[in-house]
Amino acid sequence: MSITVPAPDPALAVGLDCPLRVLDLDGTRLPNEVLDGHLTDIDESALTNLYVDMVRVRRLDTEAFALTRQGHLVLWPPLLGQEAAQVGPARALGADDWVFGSYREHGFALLRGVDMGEFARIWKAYAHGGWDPHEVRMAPSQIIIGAQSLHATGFAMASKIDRSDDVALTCFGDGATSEGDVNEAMVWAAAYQAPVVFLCQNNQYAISEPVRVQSGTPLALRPTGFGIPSMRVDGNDVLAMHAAARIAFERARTGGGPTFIEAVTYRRGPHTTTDDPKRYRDEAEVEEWVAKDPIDRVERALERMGANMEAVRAEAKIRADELAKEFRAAAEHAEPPLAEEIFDDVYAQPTKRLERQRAEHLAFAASIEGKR
Amino acid sequence: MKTFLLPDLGEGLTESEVVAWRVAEGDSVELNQVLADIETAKAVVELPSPYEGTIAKLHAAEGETVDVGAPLIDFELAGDAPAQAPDAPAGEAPAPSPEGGPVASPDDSVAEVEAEPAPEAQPEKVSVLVGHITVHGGKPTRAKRTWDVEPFVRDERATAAAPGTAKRRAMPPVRKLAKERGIDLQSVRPTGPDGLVTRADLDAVGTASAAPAQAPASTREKVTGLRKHTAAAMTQSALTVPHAATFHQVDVTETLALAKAGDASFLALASRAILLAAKRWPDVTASFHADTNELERFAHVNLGIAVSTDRGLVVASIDEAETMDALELTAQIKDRATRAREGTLSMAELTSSNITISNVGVFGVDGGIPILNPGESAIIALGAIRRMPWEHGGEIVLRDVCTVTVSFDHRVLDGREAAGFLADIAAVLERPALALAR
Repeated sequence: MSITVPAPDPALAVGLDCPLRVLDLDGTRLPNEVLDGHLTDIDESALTNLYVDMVRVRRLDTEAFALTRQGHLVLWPPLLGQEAAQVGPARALGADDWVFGSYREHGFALLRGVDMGEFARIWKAYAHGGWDPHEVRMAPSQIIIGAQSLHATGFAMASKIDRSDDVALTCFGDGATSEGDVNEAMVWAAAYQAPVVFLCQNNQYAISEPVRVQSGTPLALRPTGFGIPSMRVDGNDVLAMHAAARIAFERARTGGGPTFIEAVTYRRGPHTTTDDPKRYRDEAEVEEWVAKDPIDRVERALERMGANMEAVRAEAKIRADELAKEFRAAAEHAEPPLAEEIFDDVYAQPTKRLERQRAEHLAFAASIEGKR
Repeated sequence: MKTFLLPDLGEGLTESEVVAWRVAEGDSVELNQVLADIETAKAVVELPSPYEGTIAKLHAAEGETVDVGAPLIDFELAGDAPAQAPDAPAGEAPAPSPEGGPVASPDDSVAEVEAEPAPEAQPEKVSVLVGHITVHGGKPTRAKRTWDVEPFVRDERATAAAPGTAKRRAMPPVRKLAKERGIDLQSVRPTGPDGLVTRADLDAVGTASAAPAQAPASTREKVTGLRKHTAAAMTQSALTVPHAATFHQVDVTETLALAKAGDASFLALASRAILLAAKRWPDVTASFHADTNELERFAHVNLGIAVSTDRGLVVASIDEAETMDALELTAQIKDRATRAREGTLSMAELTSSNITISNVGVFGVDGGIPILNPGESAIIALGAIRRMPWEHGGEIVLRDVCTVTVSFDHRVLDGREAAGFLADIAAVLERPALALAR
């Protein structure tokens, strides 16, 4: 393996002046020399699938938000407005690729096939990890800002050493690009030309801190300092996000090393269900982004393609309703874990000491309750 | 019928306020339809309906604070509605954000509700970006890009830069001082660096001019901790116990002389007098149980000492006080007072007394009618000791006189017992030598 020493090169970035976009707000298909070649197979049917995915993701998100208000979940970080930024790349992943996300990657979790019952248990604080990462090839939600970028880079370095063509995708927000972890990850990814894709969903706020506080230049310029090529993409354009992710994955899979994608999007909801965004941002700003809604845009594009939108909407609603019902039932009926389960996943193989502690705990619990 | 209990709408909240109801009793509601605006300590949020059904009862009025876990809404569910979620996935979920971005929903019936603007006022905001592109002199120029933006400038600094309308800035201790003195910072002429208002600037203003205009007609604060506990205990006692009281002015010259001559404090000697009297009137330490109509009598006198602390009033017990002499009582009283102020008394010490002394004389007053410590039948208030003209040995001379008050539970004691108890206390205080005979 060779180690390359990167040199900063602003020419590595595309879309700095204007984020790459192929779907205009009115649904017009715009030509784009960077992305067009990667969208040749996207027909009405493929776009319809992306539309249904986004509607389902939004419905999952809004149902979970309501469930939190109704006391069935304890916390929810909503993604309203970021559906395209997740669905586009999620549908570009290969079956064996891995996702290392933050805590707001509900779209990835849904499309990666995470069991919604297990997913609900996490947000009910009944589970620590919640799903088997190897089964769906998606790591558990990461709460520590940006830490998952290191895990992804480590995975990608291993993938390269193993001569596997599995790619790691790591997702984080704008705030994470100011964290040491993400910068360290880029150093290693660049040095080892590791097959990792850095997907930054720039939703404009690190909780209450606007992105302009953190950077006077586009975030997509930052990775070029590490020698990592980057794309600044309209994060509310599902086709642009899909194409950009395809470019990045292909580059990673063919030995081209890491790529950074800045998805310029907007978090229309609060940071989490316990936050009040009115304290730090203007309502007019939210309205501006409602006009850039990622789902409306695809509806208009499908109409222009001649699709029967009545039927498409109806199908999307049925599938979204099914998902919401499934998720609600899971959230309402989830059972709390037994205390002794805390010992189960400390190591793959329990140690003697852990087994003894588990037995001591069970004896203690039995002494209180009288029976077990 | 389903009763919806108010959930914790933030992380670790204990209560929330109903700001506004969006539905009324009798209304039919769909799953996730917005029912109310609820204000928590963190935010005003929309409450989506957990059921599809009819609103049977709203448990709280607008403006009312509801505890987490308390009933908020009763729902009547359609037909033999199951205990679990309603079957029909009725419409879309509400907009999750408080600002109510519309959900891309073809369901018109719900869209109407969602479209309703939140009633609360929009927060006033000012632009955070000021001025225009900064030009760095001497640096090589290049074509301006659309993303070349001004460094972020925070509101307060931005506005402070403009004279006249500038918002006055000051260090937190100075702001606190201004608040204490009722001075509006805007009215102060700043002389500090960067336009900061300094302590000296506040001194220059003085307090007279601004204070009256700034003082609010009233303020309210949440009552917590010991104050809250005292309020509850005093209310319970005053409302459930028929109080009566009796007073007596006592010539304590001899007892005071004894206190000055020896190592026993006056309060300890007074305690001895009370303990001797309590031996003759044992029901003064009894406890009346209204629920069972029983009188509980105790083998020992656990003497409660009321101690005023920074946090409020506490009654610290000296258990089995009748077994102690005045020197030991002096030490015990000192110990309880010290530890009450430190906050290190045990729960047992704070709850085991069966009669209480309140030395209100330390505040310079002659007496008052104390409210009984809940569960007790008598409380003795010792007033200030005053040099007064007093009949003594057939002459009018100056003597040390103290008013002693006994408040009592009239269910346990009648005037005869209470007066007899007080007279016995007074007799020993007047003639300490009597203690030898009792």
